[in-house]
Amino acid sequence: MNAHEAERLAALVQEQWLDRVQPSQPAPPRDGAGADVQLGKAPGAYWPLGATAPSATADRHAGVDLIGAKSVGVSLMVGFTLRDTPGREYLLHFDLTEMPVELDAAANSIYEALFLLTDPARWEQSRARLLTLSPEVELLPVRGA
Amino acid sequence: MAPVEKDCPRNTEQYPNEAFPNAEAIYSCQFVVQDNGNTGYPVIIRLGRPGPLGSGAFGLIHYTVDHNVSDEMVAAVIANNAAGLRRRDGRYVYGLRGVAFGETIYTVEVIVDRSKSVDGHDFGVVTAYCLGPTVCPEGLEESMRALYVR
Repeated sequence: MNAHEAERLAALVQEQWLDRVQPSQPAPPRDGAGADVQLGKAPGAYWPLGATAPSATADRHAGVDLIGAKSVGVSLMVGFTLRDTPGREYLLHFDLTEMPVELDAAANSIYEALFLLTDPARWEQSRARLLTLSPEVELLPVRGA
Repeated sequence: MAPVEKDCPRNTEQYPNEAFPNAEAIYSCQFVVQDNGNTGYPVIIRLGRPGPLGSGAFGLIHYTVDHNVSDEMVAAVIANNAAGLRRRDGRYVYGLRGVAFGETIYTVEVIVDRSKSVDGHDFGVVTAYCLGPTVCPEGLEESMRALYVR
């Protein structure tokens, strides 16, 4: 991935974030009662057969609030807060040279890294990759935030 | 649930043809899979073309060549979701997550575009990939098959 693509990725990460956290138009529920969707947490489908509407879409992302994203060369900085550590802002730094060039896929990889932060089983592992967000780092605000 | 690959709509399998003389071969339908346990919304898989970002890559050739995702895996992901999750860009995402190779959780996503193509049917599958690496590892389909074939 080159610098131009990194810039587009930064914009895409911000553009899609709220869709991922709070889908504006959730898919309509279908017949059949079932357990809540365990999207992103357990093996299985995003919307399992027989399950009710994927209300857990937001649950998958609970705990992470995106501040913004910005590309610097072929790097991407993603700022965010974690709800269980109020008042602290973090920064994830991604080296994009090894990232896929397909933006949708690359953005998903970014989201996956963020979602790991909400997984208690991998908390320490994920936390080790974090940096504290410096005040001098200016990130574009997330749309609608 | 084991996916069932169903027939394409009439006159859509080999382009160009008499019905659609201006349709390019890349839009030829390959097969159809219905979500919601092979009973729901029909998702069309077209031949497509390979390539990186910005090349207009899509369809069967794209996910096969560029992401090492098999037809069966794409069909399994779609058939085992009650429906796709609608994104704000209008496309739908289907996902299936499972443990493969005994320890690692892989997630395969399929992106579907329901806007109309040259033949009046849905554009269908744009891409499919493994989250993270995007290029799925060899043997993933075999390893994950227990997840959906019972």
